[in-house]
Amino acid sequence: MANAIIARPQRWDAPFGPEMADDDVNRLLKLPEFSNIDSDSFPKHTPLDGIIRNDSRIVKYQPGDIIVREGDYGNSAFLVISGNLRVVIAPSLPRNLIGRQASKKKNFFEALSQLWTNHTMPEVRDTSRYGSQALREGNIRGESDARVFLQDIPSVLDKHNTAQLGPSSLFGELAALGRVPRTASIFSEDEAELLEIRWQGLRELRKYDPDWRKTIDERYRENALKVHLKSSPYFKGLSQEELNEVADATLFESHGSFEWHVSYKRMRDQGKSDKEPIIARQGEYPDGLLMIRAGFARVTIKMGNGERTLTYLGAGDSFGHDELWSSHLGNDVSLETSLKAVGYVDLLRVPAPILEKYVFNKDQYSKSRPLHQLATHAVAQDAPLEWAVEQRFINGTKAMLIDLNRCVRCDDCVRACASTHGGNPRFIRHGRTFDHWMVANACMHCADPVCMIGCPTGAIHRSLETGAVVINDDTCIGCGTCANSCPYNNIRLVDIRNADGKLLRDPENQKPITKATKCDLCETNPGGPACVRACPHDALKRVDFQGDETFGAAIS
Amino acid sequence: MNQDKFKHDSSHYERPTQKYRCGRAAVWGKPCEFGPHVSGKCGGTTECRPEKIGDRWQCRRTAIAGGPCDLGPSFDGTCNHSRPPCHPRRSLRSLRGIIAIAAFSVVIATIALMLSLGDGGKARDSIIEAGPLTGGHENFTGTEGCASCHTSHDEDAGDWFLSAFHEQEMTEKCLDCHTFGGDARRTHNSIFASKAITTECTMCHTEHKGENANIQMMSDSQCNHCHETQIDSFSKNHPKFSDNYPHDRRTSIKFDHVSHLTTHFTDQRYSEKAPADCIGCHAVDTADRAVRPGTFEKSCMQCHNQAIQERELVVMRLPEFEENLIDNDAVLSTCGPTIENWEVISENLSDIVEAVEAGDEVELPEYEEEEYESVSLEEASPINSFLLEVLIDDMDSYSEPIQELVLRLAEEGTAPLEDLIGERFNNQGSGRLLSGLSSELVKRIACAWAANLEYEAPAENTAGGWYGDALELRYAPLQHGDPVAKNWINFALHTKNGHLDDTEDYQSVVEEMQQIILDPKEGVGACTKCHAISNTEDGGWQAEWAYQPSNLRPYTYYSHGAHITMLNPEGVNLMDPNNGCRTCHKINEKSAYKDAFEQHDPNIFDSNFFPIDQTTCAQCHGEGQVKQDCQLCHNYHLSPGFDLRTVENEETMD
Amino acid sequence: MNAIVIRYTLMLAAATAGLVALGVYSHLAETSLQRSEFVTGYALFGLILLLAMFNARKKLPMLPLIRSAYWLAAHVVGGIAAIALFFIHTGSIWPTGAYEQALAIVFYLVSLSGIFGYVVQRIYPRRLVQTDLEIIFERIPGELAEIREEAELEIHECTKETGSDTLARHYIETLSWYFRRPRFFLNSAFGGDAGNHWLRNQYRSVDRYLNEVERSYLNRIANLAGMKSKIDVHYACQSVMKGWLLLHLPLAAGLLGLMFWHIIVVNVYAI
Repeated sequence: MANAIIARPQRWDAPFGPEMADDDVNRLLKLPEFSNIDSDSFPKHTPLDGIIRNDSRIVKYQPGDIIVREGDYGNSAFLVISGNLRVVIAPSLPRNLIGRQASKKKNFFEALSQLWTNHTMPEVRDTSRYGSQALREGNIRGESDARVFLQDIPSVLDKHNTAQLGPSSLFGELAALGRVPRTASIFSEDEAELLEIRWQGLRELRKYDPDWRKTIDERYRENALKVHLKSSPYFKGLSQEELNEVADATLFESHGSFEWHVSYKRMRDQGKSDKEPIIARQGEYPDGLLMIRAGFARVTIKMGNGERTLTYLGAGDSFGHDELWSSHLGNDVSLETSLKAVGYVDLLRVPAPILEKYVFNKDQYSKSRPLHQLATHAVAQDAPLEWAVEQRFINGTKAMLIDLNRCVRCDDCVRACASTHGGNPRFIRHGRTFDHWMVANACMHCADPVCMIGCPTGAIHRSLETGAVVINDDTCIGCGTCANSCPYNNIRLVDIRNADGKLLRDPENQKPITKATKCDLCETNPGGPACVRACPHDALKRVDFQGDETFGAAIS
Repeated sequence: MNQDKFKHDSSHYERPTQKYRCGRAAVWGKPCEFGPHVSGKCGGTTECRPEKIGDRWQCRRTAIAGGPCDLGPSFDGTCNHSRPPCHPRRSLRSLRGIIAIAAFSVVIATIALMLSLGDGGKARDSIIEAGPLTGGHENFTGTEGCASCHTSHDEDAGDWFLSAFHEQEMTEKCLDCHTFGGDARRTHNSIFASKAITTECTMCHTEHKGENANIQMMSDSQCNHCHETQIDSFSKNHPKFSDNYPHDRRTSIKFDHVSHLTTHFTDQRYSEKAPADCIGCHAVDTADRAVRPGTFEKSCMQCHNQAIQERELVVMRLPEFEENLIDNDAVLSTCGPTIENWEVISENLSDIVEAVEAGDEVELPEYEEEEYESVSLEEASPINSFLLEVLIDDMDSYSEPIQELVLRLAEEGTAPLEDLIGERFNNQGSGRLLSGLSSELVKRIACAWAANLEYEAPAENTAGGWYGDALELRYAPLQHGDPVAKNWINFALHTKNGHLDDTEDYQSVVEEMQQIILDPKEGVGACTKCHAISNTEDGGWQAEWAYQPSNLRPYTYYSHGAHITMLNPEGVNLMDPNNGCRTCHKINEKSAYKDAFEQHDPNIFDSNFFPIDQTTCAQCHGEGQVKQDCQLCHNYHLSPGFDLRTVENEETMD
Repeated sequence: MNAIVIRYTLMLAAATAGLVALGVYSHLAETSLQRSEFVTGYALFGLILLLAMFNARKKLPMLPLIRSAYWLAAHVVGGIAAIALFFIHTGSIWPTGAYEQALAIVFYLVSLSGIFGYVVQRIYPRRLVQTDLEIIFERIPGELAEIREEAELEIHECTKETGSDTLARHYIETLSWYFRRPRFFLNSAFGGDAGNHWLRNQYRSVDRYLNEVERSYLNRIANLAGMKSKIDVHYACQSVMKGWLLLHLPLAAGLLGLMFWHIIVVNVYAI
C-alpha cells in the first residue's frame, strides 16, 4: 500500500495542534486571508487544507493573556480570527509582567553570604516566590500550556502606548521565517481567537501564494532588511531614497533548516553528518553580494576529494565582495570558494548592478585578505576549525573551553559554579574533545539561540544587561522545550526540593515539579563567571567562536 | 565518546560539593540513580513515591530517572523498584577536610598536653634544647638548670603561657652575680646626656652559642648600632683624639724632658750619670697604660741629691732688740751661769768657796750691767713672726713676744713652739713639723740667745737635721722626701688656703712666711722646683708629692707593654727618633712646658711632647694590617666585677 | 602560555628580591645588635599564613577575588621562597630541641608534598589526554560496572552460542579479576603499560583453544578491556592528583599549629 499513500510531509504526523475538526478547517478556509488563495497552486502533497489542518492551530486567549513577548524567538505567526489585541509600543512592558526577571547583581556582602546560605541539599527552592507569578493554564489540551497574563489591563493601557490589532491582523511572521526576535509584546484585550501558523506552514503559504508572499516579503523588507542594510558598512552614507531602492532590489532567501537543531541532533545520533545546502558554488559566476543576516554558513574550497573549510561566516559577514570588485574592474572572475549553509542561514542577496551603482563608485573598497589565501594553512592547522564547525560550536559566544593539558580534573570550576547558584552546579565538566581541547557542557550563549524558540512563559530570555541567555526560575514551568531544543545538551531539567529535601510535587497529580537550569554567566554575581576565576591552572576559558582570537589564540 | 549517555534528560549534574558518594560505587558496583542523602544516609531504597490518584496507585518516578515506570506500584502502594540501602562513603574531599582538622587538633592537643605535663611543667620544658651555654655559665646552672636565668621555666602552664606576652627580667638574674661601676641598665653604666636609653644585658650578650663561644666579643657594627656617629673603621673615620692626647693635665713633677734631653744629659759633666734612653728612667718591664718613671732614688738621685741637702729652712732667727727684756735671774736659774758669770766666779772663787763652807750667804759681785747691746742685728725669721703674729720689722711689736718665747724655749724646750704651731695648723699635728728637734738643742740655743750671746755649736753640722747656728735655728733636709721639709711646705700651703683671718698688716708677714718656705730658689722651697703646686677642688693649693699617673679613662684601654714588645725586638734603639718610644711620643722642643707651672691650674699645660693623634696609631692599626676593632681599645662596661657573696660552696655549708 | 610564564617570572623576581633583601639583612644583623631571627621568623610566619590563605580563597569562589591562577602562582613561588626563608631563618638543616624538630619535619614534609603535587599536576594531564578518553573521576565506578556487565554478558552469550565454557572459565580465572575494579595502580601512575601487557598475555594464552566464533567474542571483550585499561590510567592519575592533597593539607594544618606553638615558646624564653 506504500505507493498508494500520497507522500506528505513527515511533520504532519505530529500536527501543530490537536486534531482540527473539519468544521474549523472549513471555517478557516472561509476567512478572507485564505479564501482568496488559489488552492491549485499548492502541490498535491501539501494541499492548502492540509496546511491549515496540520500546520496551524486555533488558540483562544483570555483577556490579559500575553500572546508574544518582546525579545522572544518564535517559530510561528499569528492570524487574528476574532477579538482585539493590543501591541505595546512604548515603553516596553516591565519585565516581570512578561515572565522575565530583572537581573540584579548582588553586592559584596550578599555574595559572601552565599558561603553560609547555600544549601547542601540539591536544587532547593523557596516556593513562596512562586506564588507571585501570574500563570494560568492555556487551553491547548494534551500539552502543558501555561501563560503569563496581565492582571491589570487598564493600568497597562494607561502607562503604555499601545496599538490595537483586530481581526485579520497577521503578526509574528518575521520571527517565524527570519529568526528575528519578537519586536513587541502583544496581549489580548478581550477574548480572542487566533490562528497560530507554524513556520513550515507559513513557508508553504509564502511559497505558493502570491498575496501571502507579497505581504510577508513587504514586511520583511521593511523591518528586517532595511534595518540590516542601514547598519551595514557597505551602504553607509546612502540617502533614504537610495536605501529604499537597494532594499527593493535586494533578494532574500533562507537556506538550511529553521529548526536545524532538530535535524542536527538526529543526524548526530545516527552518526551521519548534517546536510548542508550549497548557497554558492566555487567556480560559478558571482551575481550579487551575499550578506548573512542570521545563522551560519561555511566557506569551503575543493581539496582533493573533499571540501576543505576555510572559515565560517555569521550574522553581519558577507561573501563574494572580492570577486565582484574584481569583476567591476573588468576582470573575468568566478567564485573562488563555495558557501554552504550550516544549520540555518538567512541571506540577503544584493544584485551586482546595485553594487555598481551605489557601492563600488564610492571607492570604499578596503583590501581584505581574500578568503582563498586561508587555504595556505596546513591541514592540521585547520583541524580544530573543521571540528568546531562540524560540532556547531561556532554558534557559541561564551563556549566553555577547557585545555585538557592543563586541567588537573580538580572540579574547582564546578564547585565555584555551585557556590554562585545556591549549591547547584550549572554545567558538567565533560564534553566533546578534540586533541586536548574540550568544549564542556555549559551553555554557550549562542548567537543563534534555538533554545529560546517556543518558551510558553517567556522564562528563557536574553538578559538586557549582559546579553546572556538566562532562565527565570520563577516563571519556568518545566515543560522542557528549551532543554529539548538545545543541540548541545546544555540545558537540564531538575527536580526541585524544599529545604528538608523532599521533592516538590504538583498538587494536582503529585508529579515532581521540574525546572530548567543552565549556565547564566553568573549574571547575578559580582565579578562575572565564577568558573574562569576559580581554575587554578588557567585551563578554563569562555571563548567567543565568532571572534578572530579563537582559532588564532585560544585554540592554536 | 561516552557523551551520548549523558544527555540532558537522562543524567544529573555531577555534584562534587556533596560530602558523600554512593556506597555501591565505593565497592565498585553501579551507583544508584539517586545518590546518597546529603547527610550521609542512603538516598532512598525505592525509585519513586507512588501517589494515589482516584483509587489507583500511580508511579511518580522523576523524568530524569525515566518517568513513570511500566510496572507501576504494587496494589498496596509500595514501589516495585526497590533495592537494598547502601552505606554511603565520604568523598575524598570530605575526608581531606576531616584529616586536616584532625591533624590540627592532634597538634593542639599535644601542645596542651605538653603545656601542662609534669608537675610544674617539667616535662614540657625538659625537651627544650636551647644549645650549650658558655663554660662559665654552664658550671653554676647545672643544678637549677634553665630556671637560673629563665624565670618562667618550670612554671605552671598558665604562668608559663602568659609569660610569652611580657618581657623577661633576665637582667635581674645577670645582676645576681655581675656588678658594674655604675647602673647596669644605663649605656656604658653611666649617665650620658644624650639619648640615654635603658639597656638590658641581652641586648648585646646572647647565650646558648656553644661552650667556647665568646659572648663578650662585639663587632664594630654592633657598637655602631647605638652610636650616632657611625665609624666605619679606626683608620677611616674614628673621631680625632682629644687635643693633647694622651696628656690631659700637666705633670705632677716638673720634669722638662726637653731641657734634660737636649741640655743636661748631653752635658759632659753629667753624661755618665745620664740615662742612655727613655727606658733608663721609664720602667718598661711593668709598662701597662702608663710607663712609670722610676722613683727619685732610681732616676733622679744621681744628679739631684746634692742640692737637696743644701736647702735649709730657717725656722727661728734672733732679731735685734733694743733692750733686754729677759729676766737675767730666770736665765741664770734655767740655763745656768754664763761664761761671764763663770769669769766672775772664778775671780772670786776663793771667797765663794769660803762662804759656802762657812755657810754664809754668797754674795756675788754685782753684775754690772753694761749697756745692752743686742747680739743680733738681724731680722726675725718670718716663720716665727708668723707664729707670734708680730711684724717683722716692728721692733716694738716683736721684742717682747720673741724674747719671751726665747725664755720659754729655754725653760720648756720645744713645747712652746709646738703650741704655737698647733694653733695654726689645727688638724695636722705640730709634731710633724718639729720631728727630730730635741728639747736639749732648743734649750741650749735659747739659753745662748737669752744671754744675748750667739749660740755656738759644738761642731759643724754635716749630718743634716735640726741645728743651731749663731743666731738661727735651722733645719737641713736629710734627703729627698724629708718629712719635716715636706710638712713645712704643706704648712705653708695650708695657710695659703685661706684658713686665716688676717689683718692687713699681718698679711705681709704671712706672705713673707709663705714665700720663704715656698720659694724655689731658697730654702726648702726647692722642693717646689720639681713638685708642682696645684689647685685643689675647694679652691686651695696642694703640693703634688707623688707621681700622678694619667687620668683614669675608664672606657679606653691602652697597653704600652704590648706595643713595646712589638716595637722593640732586640736591637732597636728606643732613642731612635723614628723608632721606639719616639714613634708615638715626639718631643716638642718648642714647648712652653715650664710656663705652665707659674700658675696653679693643672689643666692648663703645655706638654713636652706633641699630642699623639689618630693617624699615628693608624700607621699600624689600619686596613689589612693590625686589628682595629672597637673592642681592642674600648670597654663598654665600667669596672665590671663579680658579686662575691653569691659564690658559695655548698659542700662546706655545714 | 606566555602570560603564564610572565606571571611566574615576575613573581619569582619579586620573591627573589625579597629573599635577597632578607638574607642580606640577616647577615648584617648578626654583626649589629639586631635579632635577625625575629625578623626572618615573623616574615616566615607571615609568608606561611599567606600561603594558607590560598585554601581560604578557594572556599570563597563566589566573590570577585583575584583569579585563582594568580593565587596559585603566588602560592608556588611563595612556597619556594618559604623554603629558602626557612634556611635563612634557621641557619641549619636540622634543629635541636623536640619542638623545633617537630616543626622542621612537618615543614619539610609539607614542602616536599607541595613540590610533588606541583610536578604531578604538570605531568599527568597530558598523559590523560593521550589515553584518548575523558572520564569524570566519580563516574569511574559506574563505567567499570557497565563494562563489567557487558563483558559478562559477552561471556554468557558466548557460552550459550558455542556451548563451550573455555572462555568462561578463562574469564573467571583471569579477566574477571581485571574487570572487578581498577588494577595496576602503581604501574599506571608511573607511566607503564603493564595492564595491557598482562591482558595480551591472557588473550594469547587462551587463543589456541578457541574457535572463530569464540575468538570474535574474545575480540569484543578485548575492546572492552582496552577501554577499561584507559580508565585505569585515569583512575590512577586522577587519584594521585586528588590524593596528594590528603597529605599536603593536613600537614599544613599541623604546621600552622606547630608554628604558633613555636612562636609562643620563643617568646617565653628569648624575650
